[in-house]
Amino acid sequence: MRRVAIVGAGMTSFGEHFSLGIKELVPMALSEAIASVDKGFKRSEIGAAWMGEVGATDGHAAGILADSCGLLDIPVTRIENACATGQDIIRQAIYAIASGYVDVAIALGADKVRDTSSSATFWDWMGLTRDMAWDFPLGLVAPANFALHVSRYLHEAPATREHLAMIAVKNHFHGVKNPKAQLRSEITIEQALNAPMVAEPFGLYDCTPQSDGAACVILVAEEHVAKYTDRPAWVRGFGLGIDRIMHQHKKDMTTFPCTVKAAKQAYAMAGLTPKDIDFAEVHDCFTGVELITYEDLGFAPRFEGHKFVESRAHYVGGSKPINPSVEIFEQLRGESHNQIDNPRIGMAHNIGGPTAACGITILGKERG
Amino acid sequence: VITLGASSPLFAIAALIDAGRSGLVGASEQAAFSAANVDVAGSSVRRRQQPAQAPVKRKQTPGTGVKISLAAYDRAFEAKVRWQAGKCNKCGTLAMPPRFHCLGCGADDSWEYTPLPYAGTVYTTSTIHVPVPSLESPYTLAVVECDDVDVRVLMHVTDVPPGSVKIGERGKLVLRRVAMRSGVPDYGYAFSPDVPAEGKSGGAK
Repeated sequence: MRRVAIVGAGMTSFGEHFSLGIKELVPMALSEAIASVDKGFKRSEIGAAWMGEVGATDGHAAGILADSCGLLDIPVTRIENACATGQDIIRQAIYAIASGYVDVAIALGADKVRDTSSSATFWDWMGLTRDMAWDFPLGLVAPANFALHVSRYLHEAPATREHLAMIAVKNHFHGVKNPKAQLRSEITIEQALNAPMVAEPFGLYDCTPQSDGAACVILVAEEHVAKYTDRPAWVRGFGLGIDRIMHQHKKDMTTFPCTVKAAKQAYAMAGLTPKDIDFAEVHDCFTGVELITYEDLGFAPRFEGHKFVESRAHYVGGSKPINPSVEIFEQLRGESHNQIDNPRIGMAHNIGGPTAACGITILGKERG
Repeated sequence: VITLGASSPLFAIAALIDAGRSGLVGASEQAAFSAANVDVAGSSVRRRQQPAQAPVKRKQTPGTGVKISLAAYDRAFEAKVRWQAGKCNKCGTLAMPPRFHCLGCGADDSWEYTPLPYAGTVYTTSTIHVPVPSLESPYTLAVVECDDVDVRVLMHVTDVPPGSVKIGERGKLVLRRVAMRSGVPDYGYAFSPDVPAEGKSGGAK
């Protein structure tokens, strides 16, 4: 398999982009990615594109990417794999380059969550990822989907709602410095604990806001990397894990087996262990998901995620920053607003759907 | 007197017996109408029903509700409303809902319905406070482990105020109307916790 590296990355800010449609967000992300390529890049060099979109806004997703970006002469494919969609388009692009099908590919993810009313958005999305007779009608909305796991986790592990609040405080703190973050204000543990309840044990600050945005990476084959940059982010490993799609069929809800499976694949491919990961962007749709994921990724022993939280190792400046809140590509190049001290290996993790899909990518400063 | 719902003929007959009045009971459903002449002489009513409770303050989101797939509803009906799992003809593994490919041995399309127990234990639970179309918030979901069989089912918690059930609590599985969708009542089994009558809200009748 040919080795693959990321030579450019771009993203829009995340928020309620009422004035920007998907046909604006998509080309904005690509243009920023192209501008980030050190030695210059022409869009005519792109051999194939993957478009990630979970919902569907303004029509045919692959066509929207091709049309809005002026990429009408290459193959474009839309992928949907719940919240692991963005990871999966990168995986598809790596497959295409590694196999020799193309030398240069882009993976571009975009969603317009806020084009419907906030009360309807995630309910509409549930229809895409739930059983229409058994789950959807009962009101298994996104927070409940994850809350059922975290309730059981808090029942079995020593962690408490305070630990969830500590994660919300940390992620808000990191977000303040990120000009592309949707929420840029610090909160306190008391605010998090006293916030209105959404789905027990999640209060308002345990939950993700609803965001519009787009992001794009440019991936190239090993022998072409030097033409574009001397500072690439090398793909060291990746994985995609799947689990049973109904909660009643998940034997142990204190863990996410799809994450464990994806991590196993990615670590094996990279020849790395959890200790080797300098920092990670972990899916934090809900605080408790981040907490369980520390254990599933091997950053903390089972049922000891709360100790990892108490140690503050997960802050920028700690031994294993989690969600420093800017792209891994920028961190590895030393260009982040929340820069970690000389990181070598970064990991990106996403989990979604009925807690049934997880994608992981490990990137390195060195080829490895 | 007119009553509504699938159980209304039973309530009508019970009301006649309570009043000591024989008479005609009619029941209609869409285009069908049945009638029975009820003689109450020598009959008595033995009730096994929850004491009446004070209503819980809950809100339903205004709007058009959620879309429903009548085909999906129909496919699930036997298992969901008759409370029956699929039992593999090859290895005996139970699946709820029934499924084409056996969870245990992988046999394809070889199963029959088998009744499920009507009692179980809460494995995990969450109470949802945000508004959700077609449902009244707050409402409580639970993944319930059925007694004696290796089957868990996601269901609503009923008969107690939202948020009052705990992991590990035992209860009965009872048929309830979960919601109305596009004018169609959606029935399914729900978890009714075993708590002393005085522990449930409201006074006994």
